[in-house]
Amino acid sequence: MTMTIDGLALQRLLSWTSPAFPIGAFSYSGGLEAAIEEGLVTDRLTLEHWCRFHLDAGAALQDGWAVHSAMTGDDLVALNRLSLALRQTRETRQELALLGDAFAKVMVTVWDLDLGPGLSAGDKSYPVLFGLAARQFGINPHAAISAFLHAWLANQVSVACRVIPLGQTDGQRIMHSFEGQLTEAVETILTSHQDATKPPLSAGLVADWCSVKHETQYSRLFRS
Amino acid sequence: MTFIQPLDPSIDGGVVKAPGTLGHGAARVSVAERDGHSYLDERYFTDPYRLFTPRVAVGEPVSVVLSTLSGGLVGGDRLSFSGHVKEGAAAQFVGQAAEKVYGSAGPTTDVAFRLSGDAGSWLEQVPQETILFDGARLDRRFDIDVDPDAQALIGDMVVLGRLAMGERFERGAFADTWTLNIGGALQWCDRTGFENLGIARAKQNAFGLDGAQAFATVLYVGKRAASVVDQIRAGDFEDRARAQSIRLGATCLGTYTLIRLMGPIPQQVRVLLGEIWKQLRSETGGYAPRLPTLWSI
Repeated sequence: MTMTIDGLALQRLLSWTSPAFPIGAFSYSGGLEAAIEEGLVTDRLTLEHWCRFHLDAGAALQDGWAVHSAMTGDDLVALNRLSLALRQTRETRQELALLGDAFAKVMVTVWDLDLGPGLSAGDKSYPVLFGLAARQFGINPHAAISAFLHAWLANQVSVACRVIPLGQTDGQRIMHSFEGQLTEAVETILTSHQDATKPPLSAGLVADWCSVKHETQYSRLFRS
Repeated sequence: MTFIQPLDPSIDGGVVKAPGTLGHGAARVSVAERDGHSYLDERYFTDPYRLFTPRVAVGEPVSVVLSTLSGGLVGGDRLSFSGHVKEGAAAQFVGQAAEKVYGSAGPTTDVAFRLSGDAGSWLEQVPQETILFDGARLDRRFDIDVDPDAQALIGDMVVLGRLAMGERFERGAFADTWTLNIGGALQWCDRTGFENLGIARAKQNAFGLDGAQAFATVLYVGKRAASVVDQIRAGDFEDRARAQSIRLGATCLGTYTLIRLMGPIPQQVRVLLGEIWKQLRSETGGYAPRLPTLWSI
């Protein structure tokens, strides 16, 4: 599948997913810090397994689904609730809601994003808000989901560089080697998970357990 | 053969039995309260379901035992159970035995539980494990709907195969959907399943099951959610879990607490689950730290 994207859409996606976009994404690890603490992620190979798992059957797949569903679905209020409810642990849910809230604030202030009456108050799911923004700016869903998942992967790599630690060059080797896998994940979401009321299944029992362990982890750099 | 006798239908208002295809059954029960006592308010079931109400000690919730005559589920079976605890009432729903799901050539076994609790109620669903045989295709739904003033303690345990019999769940499908609504608002949704990875890979994957042969869930909903997490962390549960390579975790999401256990030896997971259960029903519901007699193997 070839994808084309106009220059303006590309600029916007680059802005919204930039580490400089002021939502504090760098302060969350999505359970990875605990997976490292528990000895489940120890090097480049095991980090690749962790990332691959989340794209195949974990939180990244469900978040990609939420981005897409927000671009196509009718009831964004219900989708927002569902996306937040899917987070199984206190910290990963808080991560989703705090990022969503921060993202909404910047988008409303700078890009005039229209939240509508239903999403103005209360917790907001980050991928749902991201999808809503992409929808309002007429961005191609393939590009929007790609950008979202790419930013997720880059953040996981960044966490690993700081905690394992993993070399910066090895980090970029992961970004390079995952190009095809990110594209596959996007296409799976577009073709197999089109129902905005039916999130993809997660098999991440141990991944969620890691996030729960993080709540009581003694020494930690990240909020999740 | 069962050792629990059903109540005489004439005693509690009658039993409605509609003719049903074996394997396509529904059961519905509600428990209400009057003058400080809970009682069976309504019950209805079709084959292959049976409902029993064994006697319980004074002060304990009304116990409703659910059994299936068929001795196991096969592809194409559709079962639904609905349990409703009315205002101020207390009920315990318990499966009579482990639910076996046999291999299927194609059709899925669909099981749906709908549990609801009104204001001031105690809703307890005691887990009996669901055992997935090789080739089983199970699609389950748990829809829980409680009042903000109710308490619910709901459990579940899934065993992947029957190891003692050399039976391993390696092929098939498993999809589990849980929703929790409190006061009509969705608070939690879990969609656990292995379709994307395949069962064999999900079982081995370090971030999936990582070799666990059984996993269990305890959901507590109610005002004591924060204290439930503290109890799991403060007790010796975590030490015991670690000694048996069981992963145990509890997380509080404000209005509810979710506890998960997973481990390589189903019987050990079951025993630890039982210990946790006894403590929580006592600490949150004020009931005896006991499991139903039926629960023990």
